Amino acid sequence: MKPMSLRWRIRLLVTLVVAAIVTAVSATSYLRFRTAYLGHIDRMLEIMSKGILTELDEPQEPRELADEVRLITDSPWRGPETHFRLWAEGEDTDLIASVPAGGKKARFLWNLQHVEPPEGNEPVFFSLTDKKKHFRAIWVRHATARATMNILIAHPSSFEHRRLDELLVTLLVVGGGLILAGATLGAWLVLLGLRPLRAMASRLAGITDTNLGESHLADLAVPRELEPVINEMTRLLKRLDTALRQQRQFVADASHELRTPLTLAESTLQLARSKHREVAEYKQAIDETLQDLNRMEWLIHQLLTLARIDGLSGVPEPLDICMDAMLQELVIEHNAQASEHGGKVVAADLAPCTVHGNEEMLALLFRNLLDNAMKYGPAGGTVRVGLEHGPDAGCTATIQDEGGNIPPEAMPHLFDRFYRVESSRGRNTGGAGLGLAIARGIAMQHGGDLWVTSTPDTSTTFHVRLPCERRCDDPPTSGVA
Amino acid sequence: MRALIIEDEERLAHSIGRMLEEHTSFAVDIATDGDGGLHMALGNPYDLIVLDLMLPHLDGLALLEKLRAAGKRTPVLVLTARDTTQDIIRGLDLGCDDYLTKPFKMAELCARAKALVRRAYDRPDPVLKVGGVEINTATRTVTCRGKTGRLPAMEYRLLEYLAMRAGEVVSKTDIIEHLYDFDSETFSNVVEVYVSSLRRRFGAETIQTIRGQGYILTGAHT
Repeated sequence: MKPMSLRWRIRLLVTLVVAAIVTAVSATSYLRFRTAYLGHIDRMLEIMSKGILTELDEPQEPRELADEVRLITDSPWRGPETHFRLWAEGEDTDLIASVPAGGKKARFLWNLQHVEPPEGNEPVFFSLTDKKKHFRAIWVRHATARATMNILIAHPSSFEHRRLDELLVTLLVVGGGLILAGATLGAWLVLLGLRPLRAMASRLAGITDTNLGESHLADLAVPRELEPVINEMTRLLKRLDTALRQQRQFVADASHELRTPLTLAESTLQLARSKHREVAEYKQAIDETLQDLNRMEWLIHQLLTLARIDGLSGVPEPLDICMDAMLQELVIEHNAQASEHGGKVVAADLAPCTVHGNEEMLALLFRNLLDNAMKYGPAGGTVRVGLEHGPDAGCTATIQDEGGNIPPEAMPHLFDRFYRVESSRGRNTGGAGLGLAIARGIAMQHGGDLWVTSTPDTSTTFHVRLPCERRCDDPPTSGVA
Repeated sequence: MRALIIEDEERLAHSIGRMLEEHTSFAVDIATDGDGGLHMALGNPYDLIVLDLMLPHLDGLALLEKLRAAGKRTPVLVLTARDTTQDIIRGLDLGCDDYLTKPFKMAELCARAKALVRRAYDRPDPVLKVGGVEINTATRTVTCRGKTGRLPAMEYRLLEYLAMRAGEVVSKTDIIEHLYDFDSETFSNVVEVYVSSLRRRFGAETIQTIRGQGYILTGAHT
């Protein structure tokens, strides 16, 4: 189910709260007014009943008594509407009454089935209705020497009832108005409160992939409660922008790198085709073109490797790998290659370490570093490979060449994709500047790190730190005695 | 005409060089880095510079800036693998005359190279007419007395250069500098040899010798 709109929720909430308050206030005030009005009559009735009781104590004729009682009840400011009835307990006929029994007027005086008779001397007050006329009545029992007398006095209370009705109507109208106003105000407050959100939405609507990096929300005036939203949104946009920019840069760099061999191949073939040539020349053109195709293939392979490493959420198929044994093997393999050009790759002090990782990926990491060292170190130079424990629960492998000609300004960019040190450009090293990026990507995936230090004109050292839980069981083939 | 190619991919530089030599009348020099390229461009009277933007030591655009700052008006054709409009605008703003995006068609490069040189010598018409001699720079054919034909490469180069500068006296040094690259072996009398062979073809009065100053192409009067 779609959740109720915020506007309606708040409207409902405000309505309920206002209604509760209004009802409570109205009910209280109504009841107090009612008590006050009726209490006034009740006091008067009580006084009347006391007067009548005094009269009852004096022995006199019923007629005289009736006159006296009428005198008491018919106060000039109350008019002649007050009815009364006096009767002795257990007798069928009244002693006196304001109107004759069984007549048309004030029949309610004899209609007392619903009224609880008074207990002892305590009076009972109750309300009566007669032909839409309201009465307030008192019923008192009084024991005289002859018999127990019942006194019932009913006084009209229509005026008070009308006032109470008027009050009720006023309360209902005012209360209803308040509830309505509250609901409207609530809705308006919601709209007011949501205005910054709407402003934000319209700003967000204007954001495309091209203007992502500009500041869109900074100048937006928002209440403090919305500031975290704005801040997070701004940060999100910045992250998106950075990611998009990197992606674009990567695509631009990749296409640039692919274009170079493509241009070479195309120009070679166009030149060969532009006029009739010797077979040897055609053969050379074909060979050169094949070289370019190989370069493109290698580049695509590197790009795919990088993309694959980027896409990994963890190290695939991790195994316990003896780092020292792996390095030893790689050293032997690369030494064979290096010796063809008069160079050497040697292992020194390989401490036994076990690393939990992907064998293929780690081998690629060190192959890239070794290739790099052989390529950029001086011809015929020596590449030294080391492995030691620490820092902390890790091991650090070092690959050192005798180069040391990396300019200081190039150091921070060495691991950037497609970055090549200026002096290595144009030299036919065949590299696209992806090897080190791949190596670092692998190290990071394994929870490690890769960095470089350089001593000018002496050596360049790549350090690979990998988390290492324990020493390897296999004894190292060389190193510590 | 003499062109300098500044391109760090050596193979590409040589391919372009051979293409220009074979399909146009350019003598070509090659530089494979920015510093060397700038040095050569400043020291020789090139008619065209083909410049790659991604160069070691000195970036192509920086080279262009220095070249223009030094007052060199040589037409520059920029080769770039970056084809974003920004890069192109930056290049044009820094004083390059034309650009091609890698990969490009060699034939287009040749055509643009010829067009740039024609513009530099203020000859919008690809057919140069001097007196009775008509030189079609597009097809590299020469028409004289109703006959159209091709000339040996060096003779054509000389004739085209003299025709480009028709009406003015061209010194022997100028001729040697514009017709030969660094690698060619030149003899002291090489210019005289080609001038006389051109005179044999089109008539003695085609090229006049101004003693002590040089040569002037007047064209044969028919």
